[in-house]
Amino acid sequence: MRSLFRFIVRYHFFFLFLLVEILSVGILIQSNRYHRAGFINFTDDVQGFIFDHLGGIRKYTNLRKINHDLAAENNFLRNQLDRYNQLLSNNEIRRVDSLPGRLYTFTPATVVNNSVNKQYNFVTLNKGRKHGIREEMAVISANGVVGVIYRASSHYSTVISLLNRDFRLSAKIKKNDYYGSLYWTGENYRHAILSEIPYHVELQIGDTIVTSGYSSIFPEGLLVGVISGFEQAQGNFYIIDVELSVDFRKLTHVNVIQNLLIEEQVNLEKPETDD
Amino acid sequence: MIKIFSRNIVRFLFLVFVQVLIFNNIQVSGLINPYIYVIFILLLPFETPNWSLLVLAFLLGISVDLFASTPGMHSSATVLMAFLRPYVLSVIAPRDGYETGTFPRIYYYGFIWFLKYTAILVTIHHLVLFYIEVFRFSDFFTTFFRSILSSAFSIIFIVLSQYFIFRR
Repeated sequence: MRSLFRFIVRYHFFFLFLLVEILSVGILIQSNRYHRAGFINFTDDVQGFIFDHLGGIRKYTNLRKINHDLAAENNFLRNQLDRYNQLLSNNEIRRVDSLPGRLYTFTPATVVNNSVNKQYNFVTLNKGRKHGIREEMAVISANGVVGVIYRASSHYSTVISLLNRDFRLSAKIKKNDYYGSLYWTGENYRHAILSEIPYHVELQIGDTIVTSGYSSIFPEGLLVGVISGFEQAQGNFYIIDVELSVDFRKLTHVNVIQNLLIEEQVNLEKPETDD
Repeated sequence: MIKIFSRNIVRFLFLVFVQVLIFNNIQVSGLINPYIYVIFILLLPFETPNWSLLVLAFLLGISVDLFASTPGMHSSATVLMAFLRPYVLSVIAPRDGYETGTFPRIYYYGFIWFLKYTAILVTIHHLVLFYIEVFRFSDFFTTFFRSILSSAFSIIFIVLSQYFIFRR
């Protein structure tokens, strides 16, 4: 302890310099918006780089699970394709070409960092602005909804996860289209709460919850989870316990969804302002 | 002692106002912005304690920052400059060292000595300041060119001021 003290006294000029310089740079980053943005982008890139190289191990140990999920999704998509082919051949669907091609584009990405044990969890992806990722894009995995892009730096992006107490998702019950707001309570990473479903709606444990499509970020009908329990709250609303379909502990491959017409929709919905 | 103290305080205020009111408005095609207020750190007496060098540099930088509304930018550059001042002084010291009762001026140590002293510290200050201002390395050579050009102008102003304003 004494030698440490002597060391500090001996180099006090250098330590004082460090202190004052850190103070200056702190003021710089705190109070200049431009410098703060540059600093945050830089730290995000560094963080992403580190986790990218550590994440390889986890990816390898999860290969069996990933394979299984991909096979299941393939199977599901093949079934869907078959159904559409059937309908097409029976002439039950006529293509109405009033939309400019696609409404959504999908970008695959890999999870390089992830947490489930905090109150405000974030996921980091290995794709960023250079790959077309922007803030407010939806993120899903093969099993369902993951979250929304929160920040994007040049090569990485962070996702505000479903397991974040600031995150709210507009979700509905698949069988009768009643919709409510889904949020996480910060307790169990496998469960979330769906609220604002009125009391007269018929519910059963095991009913599927999907996205409502009212948010302009998420397409309609993406899987969120299944009902694992419900009770009546004060007033006329249920509090529904939803078991999430995505296991955030085993998250490795995700897709980022861009709504190509989001600007048009947002502009239309914007309240009129007096000029 | 009191005299040195009060003269430095007056110089501090004078330089901050000259910098803010005159030199901050000089901009030749966005390339040259001389920052002459650092002359304050250059002219401090040899006997100034090291810790007060840093504190004074921080105060100087933050006062210029407040007027330029860029908190932290000038202060981080001036603090680094003040930190390097003792080392530069010992590197370029004349053979007999610095005599007591003298100050770092052309009057005492000659033109060449003062030019070396000013050039090293002002160039370092300007390089750090300009790179902090752009805060990225993508336009490395543009920034480099700008800072060298501006430091050349600042050095000319500072050396000239030795003959007209801060003679002793």
